[in-house]
Amino acid sequence: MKKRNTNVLIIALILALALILEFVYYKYFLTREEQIRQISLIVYGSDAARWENLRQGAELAARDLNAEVTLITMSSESDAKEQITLIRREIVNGADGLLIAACDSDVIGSYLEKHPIGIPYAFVESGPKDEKSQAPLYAADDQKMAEALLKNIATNEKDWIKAAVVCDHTERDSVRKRLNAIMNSDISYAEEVVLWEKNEQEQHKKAQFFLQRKLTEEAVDVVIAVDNSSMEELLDATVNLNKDIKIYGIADSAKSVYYLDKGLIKLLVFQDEFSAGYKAVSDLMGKDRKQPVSTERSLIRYEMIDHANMYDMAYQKMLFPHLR
Amino acid sequence: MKKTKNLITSIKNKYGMRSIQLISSVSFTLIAVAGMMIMGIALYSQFSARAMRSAVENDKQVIEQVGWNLNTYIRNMMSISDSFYYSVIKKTDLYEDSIIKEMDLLYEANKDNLISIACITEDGALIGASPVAGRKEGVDFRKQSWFKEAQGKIENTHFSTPHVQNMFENSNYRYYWVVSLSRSVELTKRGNIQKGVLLIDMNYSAIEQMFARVNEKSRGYVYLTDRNGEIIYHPRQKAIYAGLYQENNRRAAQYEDGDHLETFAGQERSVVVKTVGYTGWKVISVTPTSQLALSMSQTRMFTLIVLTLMIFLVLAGNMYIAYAVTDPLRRLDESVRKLEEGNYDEDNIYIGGSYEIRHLGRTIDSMVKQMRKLMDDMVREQRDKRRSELDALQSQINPHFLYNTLDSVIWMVEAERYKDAITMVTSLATLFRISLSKGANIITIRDEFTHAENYLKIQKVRYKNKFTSTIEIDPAIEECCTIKLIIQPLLENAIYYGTMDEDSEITLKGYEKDGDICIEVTDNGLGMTQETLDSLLKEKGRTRGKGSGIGLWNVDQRIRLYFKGDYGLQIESEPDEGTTVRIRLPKILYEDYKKGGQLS
Repeated sequence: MKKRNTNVLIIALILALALILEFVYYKYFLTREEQIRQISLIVYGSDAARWENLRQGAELAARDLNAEVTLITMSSESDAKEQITLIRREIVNGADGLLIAACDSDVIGSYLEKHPIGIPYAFVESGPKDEKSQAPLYAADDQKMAEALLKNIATNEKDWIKAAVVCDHTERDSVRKRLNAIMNSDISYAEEVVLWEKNEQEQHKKAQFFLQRKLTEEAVDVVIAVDNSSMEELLDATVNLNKDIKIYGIADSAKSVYYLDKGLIKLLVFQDEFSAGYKAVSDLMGKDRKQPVSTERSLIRYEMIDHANMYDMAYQKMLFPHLR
Repeated sequence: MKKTKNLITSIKNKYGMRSIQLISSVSFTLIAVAGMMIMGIALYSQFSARAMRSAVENDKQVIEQVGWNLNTYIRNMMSISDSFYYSVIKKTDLYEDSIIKEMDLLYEANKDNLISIACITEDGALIGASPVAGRKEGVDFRKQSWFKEAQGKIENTHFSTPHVQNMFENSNYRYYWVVSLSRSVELTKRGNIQKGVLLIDMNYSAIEQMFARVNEKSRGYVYLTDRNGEIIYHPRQKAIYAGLYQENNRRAAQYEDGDHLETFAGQERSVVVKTVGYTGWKVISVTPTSQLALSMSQTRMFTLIVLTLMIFLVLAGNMYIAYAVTDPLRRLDESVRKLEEGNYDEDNIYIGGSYEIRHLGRTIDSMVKQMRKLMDDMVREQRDKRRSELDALQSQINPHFLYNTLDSVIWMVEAERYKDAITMVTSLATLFRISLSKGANIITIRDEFTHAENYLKIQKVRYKNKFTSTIEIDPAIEECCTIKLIIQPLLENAIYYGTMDEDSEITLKGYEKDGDICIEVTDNGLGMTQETLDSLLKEKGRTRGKGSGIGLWNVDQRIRLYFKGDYGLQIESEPDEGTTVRIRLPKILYEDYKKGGQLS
């Protein structure tokens, strides 16, 4: 009798336990509204449109992973302190992950190295100076982009030309790498190459005026800008200046594309920022987020366009971000 | 196979050893659970199949609606094109009039859906465009695909895939994604007909928004291709172009309208296709079946919870019912067990529970009572038998009889009546020999009569021949059985109460009547009243002692114990007339009895 009662009690307990587990699973796993995770995309510069491709890629990946992306721009082109403040603010506001386009690779990299932020983060376009950083960088190979650009100049232009390279925003590692590649390249694309860089006295000057002065003072055939900021500054300086110069560069902003269409820019190398945003969010919020990201994965493709091929369907889809 | 059979047998055996409560509760629970499971699975299968069907139907409705919206939009665009062509271009001589004003009006009326309207000659010259914008430098319209398509299919209206408009100067670095609707037109200039192309650039974002709204609510997604499978809209369009996502658009465009099941990139998907009227565009809805299954998992888990709860309740209910039904049986079983152990106490049998069990309990109780009565009877019978045998034994060695007989012998010897003394002693010896009979209780009637004869001889001597006696026996019954020493007590009574004077006579008869044996002892003594007669053979109130009739009762009891039925003593008596005591016995040959026969 006692044994039978014990058996009944065990069966009842097992059933009760099964019932509780099923209920908990049903209540807290099946019917629970999964919390939407927040990803903050902190970029440099104040022009949100310039990051449209990157944002679209990030948002598409986020949508599949029940996350939302907030694009956060700065009030100025490059202010490391402000970017650090923004990083802190987003963490306090409950961000679940950060994508950072570092405005100052040294400062931001060092800050994140010294102050663990407790949430996953990755870099896009511009990463930390330290290449051993744990956080992956989603960007094209800067050196190869620069070399591809030089090869095109060498192909399109005569070999006796004088080229000027706009040297600004070197606090970003991506710019630094591209400039280094250009300055140290073996490719023979110009008879003379000059570096247009502000000296200490000119630091406070607006880049547009500095470049206008340079364009006026120095006769060059080709001017090279290696990032969107420099390219737009160069375009601002050139548009109203009646100078017959050819602009080459690494950029993909709407303004750059427009002037490529207008013929002012001869050739643009640009990276597929849509893929960078997509892959970065997928890795940051995906199932395998704790796995290290391979270089193959984080390395983004780049393309070259000129006035003739910019409306090719393949490039249209990459360049004009209105298509979602 | 054999092992399975053994296992089943073993389970059945073990199961059979369990209590009825356990068997019934487990059996009912298992049957109920099995039934519920079968029912649950059947209902769930039916429900999930219906849900799947319903989801597909829902997808069909969605793309019907999208297709209808898209068709309406396209027809609107085509009607704009038609009305402008037939109402404006056909009626206008471009040498004399301009179409710009009408073009502007048309654009203003439809600018939510249009990016631009333009009319170009077959030479690539721009006749007019709205909104007014500068033509891009170096752009040759004739090289653009919409122009070539319109020129190639003169009778038709051509719809392009989405592309960035590359015709006019735009301010603020803006570029428009458009779907170009182009058609070949006839332009009149100075009365001459010239070919041209009318272009209406539809705002791609109108199509995009139409689909984006649907995709927000959909489990899967809906996309749009042209008749060749070229994607016009897809929620992951840029990811597809970037190689980050794959779509089965080329294949899906070949599907007939309706629902299909396909496996793409290792994923099973439900695909619903709808062709949009004139354009041949395909609206395609894709829902991964895993997505449908995911929505079913809630139902599945809910069903499981309900099932578990029901099992829980059924188990509890079954156990309670089994307890309620079987507990009376168990208690009855315990009663019977106690009975088995020899406990025959009153009210030991449990009577309770349902009607059938109460009835069973009552029946068993009644049986027990009957059994108890039978056993009591048996015990009493045995006790009586033993007592009567003891009485018989006591009769054999009555010391007074022995003393008196021996005293008579002494008296005879003293009176030198040696011959009489010898006869007396011989009779006494024979009397004792028959009394002993080697311990047997059953002897022949001849021996019993011899014993009676000897007893009478002795008593005649003792009573100095105060009575006469006659013995008559039918030789046919001499070899039949009788209980020993049943005549002697009757003779003793006859001598005591029937020999008051010299004429006293005692008759002993043995004969057969109606197949039975009758032995009569008759005296002509005082006789008895009916009242005395009635009390003689009743045990109640009887005390042992001389004249109490205990001898008669004893004989009667012994006969009744040995020979059931109507055998025993009959007494007939009349006061002052005498008494006849008749022994009635069954006729059983002594030889047959010795061979193992029964007396009753």
